[in-house]
Amino acid sequence: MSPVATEEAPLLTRTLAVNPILILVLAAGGLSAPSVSGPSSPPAANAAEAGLQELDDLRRERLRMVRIQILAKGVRDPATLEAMRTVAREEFVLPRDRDRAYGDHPLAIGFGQSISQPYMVAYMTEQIRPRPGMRILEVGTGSGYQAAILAEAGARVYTIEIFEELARTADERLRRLGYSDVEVRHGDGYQGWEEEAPFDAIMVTAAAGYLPPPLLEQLRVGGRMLIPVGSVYGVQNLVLVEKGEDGELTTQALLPVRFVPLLRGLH
Amino acid sequence: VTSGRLALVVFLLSAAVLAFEVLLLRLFAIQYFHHFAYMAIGMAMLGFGASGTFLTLMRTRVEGREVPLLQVLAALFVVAVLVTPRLAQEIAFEPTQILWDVREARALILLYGTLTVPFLLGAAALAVGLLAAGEDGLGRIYAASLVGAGAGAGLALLLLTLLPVERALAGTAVVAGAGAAVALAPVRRPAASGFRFLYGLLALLLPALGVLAVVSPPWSVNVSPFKGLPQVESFAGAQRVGEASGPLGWVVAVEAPPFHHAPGLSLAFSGTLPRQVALFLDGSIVGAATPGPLVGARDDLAFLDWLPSSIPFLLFPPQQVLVLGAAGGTEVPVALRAGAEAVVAVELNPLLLELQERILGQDRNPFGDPRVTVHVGDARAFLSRTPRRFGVVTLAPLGGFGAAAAGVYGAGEDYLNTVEAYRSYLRVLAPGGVLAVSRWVRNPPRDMVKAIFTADEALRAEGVAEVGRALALVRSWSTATLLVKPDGFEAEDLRRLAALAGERMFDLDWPPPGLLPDDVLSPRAFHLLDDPVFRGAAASAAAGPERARAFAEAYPFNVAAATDDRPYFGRFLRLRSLPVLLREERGGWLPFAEWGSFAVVATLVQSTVMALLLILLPGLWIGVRRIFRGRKVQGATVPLGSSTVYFGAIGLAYLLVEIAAIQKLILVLGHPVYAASAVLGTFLLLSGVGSVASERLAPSRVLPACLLAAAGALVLALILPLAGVTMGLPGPIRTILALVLLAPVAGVMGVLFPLGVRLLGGKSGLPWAWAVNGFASVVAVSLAAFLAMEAGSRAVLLLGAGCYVLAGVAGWTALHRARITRPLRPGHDNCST
Repeated sequence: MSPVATEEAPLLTRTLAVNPILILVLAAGGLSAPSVSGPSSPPAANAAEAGLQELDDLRRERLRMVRIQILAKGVRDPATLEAMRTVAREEFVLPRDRDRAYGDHPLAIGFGQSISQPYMVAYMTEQIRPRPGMRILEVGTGSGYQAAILAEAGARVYTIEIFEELARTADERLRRLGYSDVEVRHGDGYQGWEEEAPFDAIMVTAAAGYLPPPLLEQLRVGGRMLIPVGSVYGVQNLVLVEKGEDGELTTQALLPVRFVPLLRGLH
Repeated sequence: VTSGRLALVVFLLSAAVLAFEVLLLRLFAIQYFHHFAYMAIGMAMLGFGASGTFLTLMRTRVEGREVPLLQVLAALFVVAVLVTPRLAQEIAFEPTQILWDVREARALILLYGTLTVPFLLGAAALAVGLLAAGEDGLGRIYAASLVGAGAGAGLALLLLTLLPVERALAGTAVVAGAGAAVALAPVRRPAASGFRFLYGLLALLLPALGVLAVVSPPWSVNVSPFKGLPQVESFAGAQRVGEASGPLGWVVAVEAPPFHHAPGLSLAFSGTLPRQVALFLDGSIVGAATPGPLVGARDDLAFLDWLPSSIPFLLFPPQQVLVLGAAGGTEVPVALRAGAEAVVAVELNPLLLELQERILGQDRNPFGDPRVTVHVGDARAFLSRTPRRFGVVTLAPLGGFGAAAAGVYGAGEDYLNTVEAYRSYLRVLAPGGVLAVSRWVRNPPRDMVKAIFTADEALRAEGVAEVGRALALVRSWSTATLLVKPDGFEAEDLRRLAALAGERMFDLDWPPPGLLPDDVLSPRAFHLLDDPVFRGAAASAAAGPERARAFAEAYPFNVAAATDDRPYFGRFLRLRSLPVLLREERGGWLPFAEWGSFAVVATLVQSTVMALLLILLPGLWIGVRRIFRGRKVQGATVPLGSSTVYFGAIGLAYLLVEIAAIQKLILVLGHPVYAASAVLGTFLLLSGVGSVASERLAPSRVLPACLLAAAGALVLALILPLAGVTMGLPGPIRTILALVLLAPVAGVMGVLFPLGVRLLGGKSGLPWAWAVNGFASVVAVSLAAFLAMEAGSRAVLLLGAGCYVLAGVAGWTALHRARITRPLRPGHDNCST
């Protein structure tokens, strides 16, 4: 598989990745598809120069991702966009996926967990509306990317991960990258993080179709809770819970705006 | 080699090939998601087709050396059965990531390549066995291969009953080894003594290796990390507390403190959740065992009263309850808590019930309560026979809430969620009784909309005029429960329902209209949707069938009622929506992706491409070479065109009819595994009989024989859709009736291959016939699955009939041409040289 660094590559790659049949046909025919607009690897004079070159390429990829996958698809919150432009997503994926970190898809990170596709992370972040000084609880740390985005936007993030290995690596990674406003804990998340409650916002992955009652209690009045319902495709359903000023709960099934014209198109 | 010995070799090898295929299917269903299990069929058919092409290319080298080649191929087949599953395990393949990771597509091709090898070798051995038989004995040896395959289907079931799947798979090596041993065992062989010694040694060694692999399999079952089992087992403190396996699947119970199962739990619930035991079928979660005892005030079971699926029990404290798909669900304990006098729990999979009893113990198992009667078996069969009437009938999502979560059932037949099925539920309701159907709420809404329209049609068919009065829908943020009361809701019912729902923060999406003022019903909405789809669907159902049809037609997903002819409740994607979805970028359609539908289409395309590359292209090359060099193919008069059409058509037709029969008989026999084994067994055995009989038939009878097969397929197309009417009969009688119906058709279908070989090139044409037949079979497997979803199984059978007519025409044309060149002797062919 040879990396292709032309402007045409992403389009072809996108077409390929959108169309499983095409992939199978091409693969069956012995053709190999180009990698996701991976950085070209020119023979560098020395390793350091190559490293700098790679960082520069990745930064360009990141800006391009925000422009094409996020901004163009309706995410407008400046804090969210700035965070997405800043956090180095390639640090949060498996080493083998480093050159695919900015592709428009989720990536597996082990334990049957994924890092959500960039648009989904941006959309969810916009819904949470992170601002400096906000206290946010996240249940389901995964790679730590979402926590880093929230922290980048100025929030203080408390994040709980049920898989010990993921919690440990996410913690190390966030420390190494300097996200001191994120605290990682290994645990099942059912009891929330009582000593730091209440929270302005909570994000909780709920595949089992129930919400632990303690989490609802730890949501501040006027706060927002976002429930990405996960599946093998990454996030499949998104539910927003709002706790009104009177303490009353309301939920809303979110259909990201960009899906609406798509559904109309099907009529 | 005597013909008896040859027949025994072919019988054993054929049994091993088929058992290997069936067991690979089981292994894939466990390791990956069940629609990827179809890969095993594709691999087998590809192996068959490629073996034919290989032999066509090698024909001159094979001639006269059939027996030694058979011995070598048989031995290699055993080795491949023992080695390739181990190699396949080294290929890291994660099918769920294939949509965006091209590396997975490569892994898939590699996996295909590896596991096709045993099929290629096994099928080549069988084809060489046929060649060794000579033209006179062809029918009998072909019969041995068909009967062997039928026995292999039974063998696979037997192995699965006795052993876990990884050891069962190794069991096929024992049978293959026995086949190789019979082929290799030296009997007055004029070979050098060194060879005799080696062959004798191999004859002992190969079956022994098979036995060793059963005792200690060289491979293990690696469940996809995206399935529930490995995830829950990775939780801190998780412990596997029980496990069992059988033909209906592999069930595992895991106790893990963080695990809870409470689908749709009310946001107003403030208590604690008890410890539950997670239950998995083939590695996917199907629910939980909730330990009793249920008597007395047990606070930690209070959560049961806060689930949408519990509403019917709280609304109508029932005397008699019927729970369909009971294992792993919350309905039985809820019914008992609500004070039911008697609960009948119907569950298809006895392993789940046994496991639950084993891990909870008699005292703590709700199913062990004296008020509960457990009925193991198919719900439809139970319903058509029971004289009892029930106050509440509940239907859990197929395979429990767990399995229905990811849309993985898109491609599977579901005979519990069809109009006919819902009618049978309504018929066992006592006066004033209610049917409750619970589903996940997905966005955009799909499942529950289809459930509303399915209930609507069932109500109308049962003579209920006021559908709107007979429906009510409650919904939490993640699940919804549809209540169907054919006698119509009363104002008092509705008042209580509104109170229960309000207290639990459930929305009453469809309150039967005209009974109470709106403000009494919904003081406020708790769970907002962009579009009030559920209300709209119920309102259009209430307004009459035309409005309902118009609503379903205009909806972006397929939400029209499912029927027994197209029992695909879980399939929401429309073919005409595909181009729009595919034009969008991944992020656009990902949430709507239904693996089942995509897998079927992708498998169809991919199997066709691979089959073309490996089977047909080499054949075409032979044809082209013949034209350019002006030579006959290796000196034989094989009518390549007629042969391709004839064997292509009968290969397509055979599998189309067989698969449609399996799809229909799932309803009659209650489970895909039973239906598949019964149909496979019958088809193969009777086709075997047919192929023996073909020896008495002149090749000139090819047209009537094909037309008879077409007529058989037509009869099945007319009768099989009526299979539902036999549901009132006892199981064994239903089975016998179904098989008696299939037997003559299968018999006629078995005549056509050997008859065609004698007509179209004889021994010289056999490898090409084998190749084309294999190619057509590869395509037919996916084509049948795809067509059944799009047009129903009747269309599949009609297409099968059409293919037989085409084969008849191709055969007749070849015959006609042959007659022009030289007349045929009756009873014997002389098409080959």
